[in-house]
Amino acid sequence: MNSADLSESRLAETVELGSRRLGRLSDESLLVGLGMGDRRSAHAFVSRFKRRIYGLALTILRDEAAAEDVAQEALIRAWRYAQAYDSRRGTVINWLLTITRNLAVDAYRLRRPEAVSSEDLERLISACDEPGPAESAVIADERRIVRSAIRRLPVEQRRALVLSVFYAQTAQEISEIENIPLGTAKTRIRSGLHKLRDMLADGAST
Amino acid sequence: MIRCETFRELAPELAVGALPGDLRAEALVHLEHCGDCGRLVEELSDAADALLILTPAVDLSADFDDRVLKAMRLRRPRRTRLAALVAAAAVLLAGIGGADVYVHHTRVTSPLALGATGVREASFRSAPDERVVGKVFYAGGRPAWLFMTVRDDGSNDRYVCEVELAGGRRVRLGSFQLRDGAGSWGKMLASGLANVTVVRLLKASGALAAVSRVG
Repeated sequence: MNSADLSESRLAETVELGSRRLGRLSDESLLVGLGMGDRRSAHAFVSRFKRRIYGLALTILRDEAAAEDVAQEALIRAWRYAQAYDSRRGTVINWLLTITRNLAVDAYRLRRPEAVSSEDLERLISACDEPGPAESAVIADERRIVRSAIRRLPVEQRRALVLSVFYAQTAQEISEIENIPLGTAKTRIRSGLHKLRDMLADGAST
Repeated sequence: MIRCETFRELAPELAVGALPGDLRAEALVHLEHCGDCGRLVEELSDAADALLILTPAVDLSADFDDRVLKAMRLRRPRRTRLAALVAAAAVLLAGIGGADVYVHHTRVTSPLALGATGVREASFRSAPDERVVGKVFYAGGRPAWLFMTVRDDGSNDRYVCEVELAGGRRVRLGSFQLRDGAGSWGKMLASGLANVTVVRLLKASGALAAVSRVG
């Protein structure tokens, strides 16, 4: 059932969120409410995720106005395509971040970007190392696991993954940025990602 | 078509979006027929996507929430029943040589059905070094379809159409060739492809030529 087809009064009957504290609802529950067009759920959803998706867009674009535009578009897509979310493929925040990343990379490539600087790369890699501010237990736990995994990668593999995942650089572009042979760039991506997958599957617990 | 052994070499680059267009097209063709390789690239994509959580959360302008909520109201999908018009467009698409239709123009115009209420319309935004303009017309429903009119600086170039679905999966729909810088192309979409959010035009080299947000 698509909420866009429901009147406000019908929504009030169908989505019984009124007496609950929306802040305590799970991400998935809020997404359902958002997809059904419930205004309070939409407000809570935007409030919960905006800073993180804006942070990702800003990291990639380094332009506040463009990053806000991307963040807004990502949230609108979440609303419009809430029914397409598949919890088996990952958490709501990862789904949102993937949407944001794809939008930001498109915007990045359309803005005639300069080459990724060493400074930007180091800043991003450092950000991967730092614990975040106070946030929900689910996100904090997920960040801890991922941070633990990427810390254990050799630095050159970590750099290759950051360049490809956050800046959509091809292996050829990475070889030029890092001044290494193309084959080496490919190997770094391949080895790094396989190790990361295995560590995340193990919960990166050690 | 590439074999599994070759695909496994390419899978990590495909998963992180670092595979050049030509190889990526071959890899996607292989994926359509191989479930094992599909699972591999899904696992690797999930691992790559997991990294996105590491970027810092950042405060933004105070009126951001209001703007987003307002945009959601303004952009609420219209409740129209356009089965007849959509079906007419689908017939247009299906009636000429199967699911694809190629219409070459010296002057691009749109079939009447594409201007109907309920058919979404979005413009292409050209990549910095390209001169591609045009529009995408898109309708959900059964069948869903997508149709585009494209112009560039007078080339006879071939463009690959790739769509991104809600959730981030990218699918190559096909390719078409301009004639003297103009042309149109369309395709009916299988049910699993109904949630198109982005349409990209790629050059034969795989380089991005233009992007349109249709979602």
